[in-house]
This record gives sequence, structure tokens and C-alpha cells, in this order.
Amino acid sequence: MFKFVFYRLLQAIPVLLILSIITFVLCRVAPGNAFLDERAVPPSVMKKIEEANGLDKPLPVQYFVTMSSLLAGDLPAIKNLGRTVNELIAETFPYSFELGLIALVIALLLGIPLGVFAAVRRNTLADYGSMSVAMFGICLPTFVLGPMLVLVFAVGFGWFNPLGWEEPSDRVLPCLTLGTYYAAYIARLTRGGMLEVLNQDFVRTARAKGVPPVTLIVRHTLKGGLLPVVSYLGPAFARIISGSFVIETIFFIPGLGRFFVTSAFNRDYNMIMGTVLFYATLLVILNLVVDVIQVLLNPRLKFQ
Amino acid sequence: MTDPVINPSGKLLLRPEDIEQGTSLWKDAWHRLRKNRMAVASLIILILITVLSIFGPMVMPYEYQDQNQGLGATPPLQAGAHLFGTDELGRDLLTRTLHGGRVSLGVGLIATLTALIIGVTYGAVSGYLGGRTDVVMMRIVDILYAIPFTIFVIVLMSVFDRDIKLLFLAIGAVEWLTMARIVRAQVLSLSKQEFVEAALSLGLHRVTIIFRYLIPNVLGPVIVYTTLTIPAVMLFESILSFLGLGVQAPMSSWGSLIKDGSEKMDVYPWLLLFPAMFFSATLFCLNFLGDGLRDALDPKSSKD
Repeated sequence: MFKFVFYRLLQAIPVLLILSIITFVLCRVAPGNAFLDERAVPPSVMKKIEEANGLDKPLPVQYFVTMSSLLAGDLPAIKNLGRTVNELIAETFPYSFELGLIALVIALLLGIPLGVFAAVRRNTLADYGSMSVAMFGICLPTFVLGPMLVLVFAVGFGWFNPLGWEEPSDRVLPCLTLGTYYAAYIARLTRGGMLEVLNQDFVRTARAKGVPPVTLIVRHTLKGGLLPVVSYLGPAFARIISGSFVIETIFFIPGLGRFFVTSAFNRDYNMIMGTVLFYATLLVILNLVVDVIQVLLNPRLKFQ
Repeated sequence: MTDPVINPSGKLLLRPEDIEQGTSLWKDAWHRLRKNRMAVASLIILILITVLSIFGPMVMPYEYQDQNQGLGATPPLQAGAHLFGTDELGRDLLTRTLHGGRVSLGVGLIATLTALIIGVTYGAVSGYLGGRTDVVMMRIVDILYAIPFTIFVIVLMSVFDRDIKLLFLAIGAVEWLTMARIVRAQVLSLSKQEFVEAALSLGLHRVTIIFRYLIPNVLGPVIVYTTLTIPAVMLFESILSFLGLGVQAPMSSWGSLIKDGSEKMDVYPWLLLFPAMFFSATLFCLNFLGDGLRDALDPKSSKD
């Protein structure tokens, strides 16, 4: 297992390297640059600005400078004067992480029971009903669900603050909004996975032996039925904790999500590099964790 | 059974219906799909929505950009022939919703088609060639997976200068990755089978084998995944509209209408309600149709 983890981490290095080159080239190919403002700047001044920021050097040199200062932690964020990319990510990530983590827990607590329930009652009204609920969760864009929850529970009943991230109760609405989509998706995956397992012979044997239905589900089939959910959780966890621009905008949460959008809008090359590589590293690590968990759950798989 | 037909020379001819007809996978699937009431209803509703979106704007008494400043925002059925009411510029909501359907369904179809062509070809080539080529091609997919969608599309959009047609292609260009993986896995197991060997021994070219022998055999899972990609693409377009990168006013798409409506849902709820209804109904139906197709094309499910 340690060998497996070691080799996978070794493989991740070229992946991240190529990714950083692609991102770098993409940023430089896009028209406009981070220093363009609404005010027109004389070409001579523009040239000075570009020189000061090293933009006149050949691209490979620029790439090398950017990467080495990113790794050293002193890459300046162009649009946030005096701050470094690493500082900004370290400052905003905890908010997104907390939001994402709670949302994912909600999603699992709602999604798995719903999926199991639908699978057990396959092709009945209960199945169609719970899958329709799940489908609604998938169809409803977060920027509709969020304001709707605010309107009902914050403005209408006055139970929560409509926005902000100070009191514990401020977590409820954003996490619920974010979690709903994932809950719906997890419910569908759980149903599919459970159906696969429930059709197998050992389940019939267990039933024939007289294993009570609840024990059968919890002890015998849940582990196998949740395999698709586990493989989905890798990328989903990376995405959910790296922040959601829509939710952070609606609820005024100072998280990481907004940088994924604003940095691209502002052509803040350095910030783009930082966020892309941060997200990619998360993704690589979490996919690895998921692969390990899958082997531990499924005795038929082996570390290769 | 009908009487046997004897031709003038005295030989017995069999009528086509006398011969035991083998049913093809597609006939079987269509038969099973027809029994799935949810899927059939979804198909009918989808056709209805498509026809309405294409022909509706032609017969409406208003144009999608026609303003009636004196009217302002009126609730449904209150003024003139405005069945769904009007927005605050006095534009007819029904016309705008149907027009938005053209754009949204168009995005869904064109982007999905782009994803389909790239993904199927890429996956089939990678899976069939195998070996080192396969490893390299799949690592490229892994790398592209790690690029956050939003940054990529925002940069692409600024390169393309916000052309709506290119927006379709840009979304398609990021949605083909999963398709490529699915097709590759299928082709990998198919290419070891006898009929491929037979084709090889007949001396057919590899390109012919991929396009004539392998791709038709993976169409089942591809069709299922396609019906699930269209809603994903439409949701993505709505998020781009939220970021202000979608279609530009006075054009409308379901995404942009829902986004506008969600900002005014407390004062003019109908502006959110009607576009959201069309949008959700379409996503709902596509998902149910996809599920139905998955069950119908799965030979294991024939005993149910």
C-alpha cells in the first residue's frame, strides 16, 4: 500500500507540472492583461509597468520566476496590492473548507438514506417519489435555491440572518443550499449502487437464512452499495471545499470560491496560477485517498 | 399462422413473418422503453417543449425584445395577451421564455454534440490503440480534469470575445472528458472480442474498425450519458449567465431569465416561476429519459 501511494504521488508531479504550463500559456494567450484599467495608459507607461513586473522577459523565464516564487510563497497577487497569493488562499480557504465540509456532511446524511430507501422499494411509488425529490435538487440552480431559502427562513420566519458568516446559525442556510445538490446526486448514486448489490446471490442467501431486513442492509449490502458514492466523493470533496462562487456571493462569505472567478475576470495571472494549482493538488490528493479507501472497502481490488 | 405460400414452380416460400425473428438490441430496448411510463411521458413533454420553443416565438404577437414602458411589470393574465405577464420593461414573458428555450436547448444540443464527437473519437482511439498511447492520452484527460471549469471558460470567452455560438463550443470543449473515459473503458473490453479479430483478419484498416465496428457497439452507454450531459450543460449555461458571461440582453436564455427572476422573486415572483418551470421540466424529463434508456439498454434488466 505504501508503495502504491508513493508511486501515485510520483505520478502526480508531471501532471501538476504540465497543468501549470497549460494554465500559464492560457493566461498569456488571452487578450488583455492585469494592468489594463478603465483609464487609458500611454504606451510608454505601459511598457514601464510591464518591465517592472517582468513581463518583457521571455515566456519560459517568466514561467520559471512565477513557479519558483509560488513555491516559495511570495508570489504577489496583482489585484490585491501588498498581498501574496499564498496569503490570500491561506486566509480564505478555511471559510470555504468549513462551508464545504458541513455541506458535504448534510449531503451524505440526506442522500444515502434516501438512495437506500429508493433502492429497497425499487419501482414503487416511494422509489419514484424520492428520486423525483432528488431530481428537483439537481435541477434547481443554487442561485435560485439560495435566495428562496433566505426569503422563506430569514426574511419570512426571521430564524436566520440573511447573510454573513459570524454566528453558528449563519452556517445553516448556505450549507443547506450547497449541500442539496450534492445530496441529490449522492442519492441517485446510492440507489444505483445498492440495486447492483441487492441483485446478487449472497443477498438472497442472507434473506433465506432469515437475516432481518435492517441488518441485511446495514451489515451486508451498504458497504458494497456505497462504492460508487466513494469514487464520486474524491472529486466532489475537492470541488466543494475549494469554494462556490455563487453561494459565497449570495451569502457574503469571504471564501476562496470568488477567486476562481475574479482572478480570471481580472487576468490576475498569479492568482489564477495559485488557485488552479491549489485546486489540482487537492484533487490529486483526494482522488488518491478515495482509491485507497476503495481497495480497503472492496476485497476484490488490489493496490496496483 | 398464415397459409404457406406456394410459387408457380411449386417451391414452398416462407413469408417473413413465419420466420422466427430475432430481435435486435434496439428493438428490445425500444420495447422496454415503451413500457416505462415515466420515460415515455418525459419524451413526449420534451418534444412538446422543443416544438413550442422553435415555433412559439413565430406565432406570438410580441417579439422578445419589444418593450412597453407604460405597462411595466404586470402579473400573468392581467394585461392584453400577456399570458405569463411582463417584466419591468414591459416585455412579454411567454415570448421571452420560449425564445430562451431556443437558446438553452441550442446550447444543450450543440455543446453536447461537440462533447460527443470529441469524447467518443478520443475515447475509442485511446481504448483501441491501448498500450503507451492509451496511457498518455488518459493522463492528458486527467490533467484537463484538474483545470477548474470556470477559469477555463472565462479565459476562452475573452479570447472568443463573447460570441454566443462559440460559447456553445467552449462548454462542449470542457464536457467531453467523462464521455472519453466511458467510451475508452467500453472499447477496451470490446476490442478483445472475436468480431474485432475477425475484422482484423479480413484486413480492414484500423480506422474502419474503430468507426464501423467499435463505436456502434458503445452507442448504448453513450446515448445514456448524452441525455445526462444535456442537463449538465444547460445548468452550466445558467451559471455563466449568473456570472454575466451568458447571453447578452435583450436576448434571453432560461438561465439568464432565471437569474434575473431570482433577483426580483420577492416582488415579481412570476418572473422566476415560469422560466424555472420550463427549465426544471426539461431537466427533469431528460434525467428520467436517461434513466429509462439506461434500464432499457441494459440486457440484465430484461427479467423485470
